[in-house]
Amino acid sequence: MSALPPDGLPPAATPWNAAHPTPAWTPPATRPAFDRSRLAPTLAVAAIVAGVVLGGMGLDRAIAEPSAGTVSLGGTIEMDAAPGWVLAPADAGGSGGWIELRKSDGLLYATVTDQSYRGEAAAILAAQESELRSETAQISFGDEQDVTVGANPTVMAVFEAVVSDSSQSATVDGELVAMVVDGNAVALEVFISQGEFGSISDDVVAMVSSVRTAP
Amino acid sequence: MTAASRPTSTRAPRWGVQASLIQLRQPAFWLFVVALAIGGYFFLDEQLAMSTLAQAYAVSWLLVLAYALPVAVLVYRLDLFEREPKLMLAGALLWGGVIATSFAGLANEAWLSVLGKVAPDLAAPWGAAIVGPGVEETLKLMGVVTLYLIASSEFDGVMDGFVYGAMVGLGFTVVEDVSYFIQAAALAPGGVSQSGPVWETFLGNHVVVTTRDSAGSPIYVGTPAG
Repeated sequence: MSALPPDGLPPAATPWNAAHPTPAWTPPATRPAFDRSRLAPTLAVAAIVAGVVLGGMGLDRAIAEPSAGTVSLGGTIEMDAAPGWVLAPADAGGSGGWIELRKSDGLLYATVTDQSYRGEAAAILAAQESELRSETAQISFGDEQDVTVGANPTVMAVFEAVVSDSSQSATVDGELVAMVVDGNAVALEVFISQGEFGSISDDVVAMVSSVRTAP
Repeated sequence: MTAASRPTSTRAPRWGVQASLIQLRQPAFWLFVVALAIGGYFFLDEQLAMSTLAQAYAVSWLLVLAYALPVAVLVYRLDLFEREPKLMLAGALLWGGVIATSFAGLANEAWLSVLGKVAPDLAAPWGAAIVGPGVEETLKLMGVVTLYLIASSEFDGVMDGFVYGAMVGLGFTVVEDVSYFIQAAALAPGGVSQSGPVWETFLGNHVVVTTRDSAGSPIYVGTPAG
């Protein structure tokens, strides 16, 4: 005996919802409300993101840039360091020779090479160029510019150099400045990563303009 | 089943239903939109600047896409039981590549400057190592949390946090690597091979780091309410 219908197929399956009659009333369609339960954690995320970004920017503005102030270049010559330029630790004690000022990637070296100088600023610059040529793997100088800064004859030249050691090399931009200040031969050398000179050029102009004899 | 016998219940079964990134009722969606608008502005600005080195820019994007596309497919297929919604994954990539990178660029610069003022001797040799991880990992992780707040129903296991974290990190590393490549191209002296640093950067670490950090997020935030 078989329970199968005459055509040999099982009875049709009952729809899964056959026992559930269609309700006579369905709620009207409404726009879903703004999910206020997620507002607090979302604001917390926004606060963290804002804290990381705006907090850093605000703190950066709030903290004044350190400055080395007035530094002695040797003899009676001094210079005002621009905001953000600080003495390298080795020079903080006021050791002789070159002083080194730093700001971010920027380096400025300055010194008085001769305290009873009778020559021209161009000769000081030529000596600087010669020294740099011997210390760099490759260097090219721009045109020399003769100017007068204050009452001091000054010669400047920008350069691009490849500096390297046994493991790495880098290209740097820079500027050489040679000045004669009240019989003192003053030399300044500025170095910074390639393409970044614009970020410190105003500082360099300000510092070069501030070179003077101490009162 | 005929139309007459179809149930009119308003609660459809959720099997196979995937949440969308676009959820107007979720505050986190609007946070995402605002962050994308701000981040997108800075992102486009930087991309335009980098594209001036046209050849390096094109090669950089080809390199990172050759790496990123297989990784994206691999991460997408990791979750064998429940593929994540593609729009949510796109949102994760956008957070990492557009929002987090743009915000990190601003924040890194600011915090590095702060460090330079407070501890200049520390800033030069260690600044990037001190500032970068804190800023970048925080911003990327906030992307995963934002996606969770938009569609928590998609976060029901460690694998979900893993997948979204990996996508955020992937987006970040792709855009960051392009900027590194362009930087390397701009700084490379003539005749000096830069292939070593380029390949080192090319492999990147952001995918790994954010994947690790985010894999545990569902454990801490709990299971979804729906």
